[in-house]
Amino acid sequence: MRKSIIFIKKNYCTYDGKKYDFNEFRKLSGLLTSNIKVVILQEELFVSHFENTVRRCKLCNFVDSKIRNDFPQNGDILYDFEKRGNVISIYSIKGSKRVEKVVEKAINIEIKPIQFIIKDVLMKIVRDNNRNFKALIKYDACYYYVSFRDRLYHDGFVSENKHIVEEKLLKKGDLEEIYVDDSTVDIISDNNKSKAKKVNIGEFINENIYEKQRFHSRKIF
Amino acid sequence: MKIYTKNKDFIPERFFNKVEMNTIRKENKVIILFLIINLIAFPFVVQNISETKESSKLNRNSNREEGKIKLEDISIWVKNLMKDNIEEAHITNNGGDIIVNNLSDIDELSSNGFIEIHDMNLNDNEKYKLGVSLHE
Repeated sequence: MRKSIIFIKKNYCTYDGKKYDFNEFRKLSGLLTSNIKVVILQEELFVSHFENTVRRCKLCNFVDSKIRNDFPQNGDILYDFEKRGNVISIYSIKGSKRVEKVVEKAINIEIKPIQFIIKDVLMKIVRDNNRNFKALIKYDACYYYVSFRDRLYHDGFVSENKHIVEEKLLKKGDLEEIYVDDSTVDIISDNNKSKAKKVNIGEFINENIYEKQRFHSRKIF
Repeated sequence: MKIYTKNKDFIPERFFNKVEMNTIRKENKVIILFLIINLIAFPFVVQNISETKESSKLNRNSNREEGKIKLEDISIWVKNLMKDNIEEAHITNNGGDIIVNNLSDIDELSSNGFIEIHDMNLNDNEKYKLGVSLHE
């Protein structure tokens, strides 16, 4: 069945290139299929790592208790988790209330923050054995900085303002091995420009979202 | 249908609860359907069980009757075998062997309407061993 792909932003969502306010959601719900993919944009993704030897069968209970005790209970946070070795990573992102509205009548849903899509795309592009890398990407008028350690999401930030991005990057200092695209290459300071690797990631992000076949002949770097 | 896990893949809690409720409802529906089918099938099953029980009882009775030796048959054997010309007789279940001295005795037995001769052997003592049974 055809997937309806919706982009959720801070104040509105877009479907099929058109903007929809969350108050006029009824207009949108008639257009959607029961199979929905939601891409969360403009929201910061947080991660908390816990070291624990809990077994996989009890992992859900462990994560549930951690979420109840260590995370804010405002009912607007979405979670994901994964376990690698003894490290359990719990990811959280704002937007539960908006997503709930969109998927109200759906049967099958898939929710992905843009940071996870960037991660998936970069993992495929970065063919060397580098397990620690960073990226500054501009997607849909918003800048996304993501950093991975051991191929796990470590930290990141989101901003629409170029100057804020510059300031935050300067605070971070070491920008060794950072992947940038056409729109963000000028942000990286002169000192770090030589270390920055330019990638044409925008199209790959769209292909990942719309699940199209990738053509390897295209120039990546 | 996709299986969802709580707090996994950024699935909203309300959607997860809705899916869980639907799954429970579907499971309950299946259980109720099974119960109804069982209730409908119950009389037929009971009838079949009682029928098989009765038929096995009848079979057992008929087997017993078949296995029984009638008193009339015993008297026939006694009347026909308690004679001087019959040397030996081994009868079990209305059949067995009779040993006689000469051919005239065999003639007499074969003319008898009650006893049927199947086979005949001459043994080492020059006596005739006959395989016999009652006429049906």
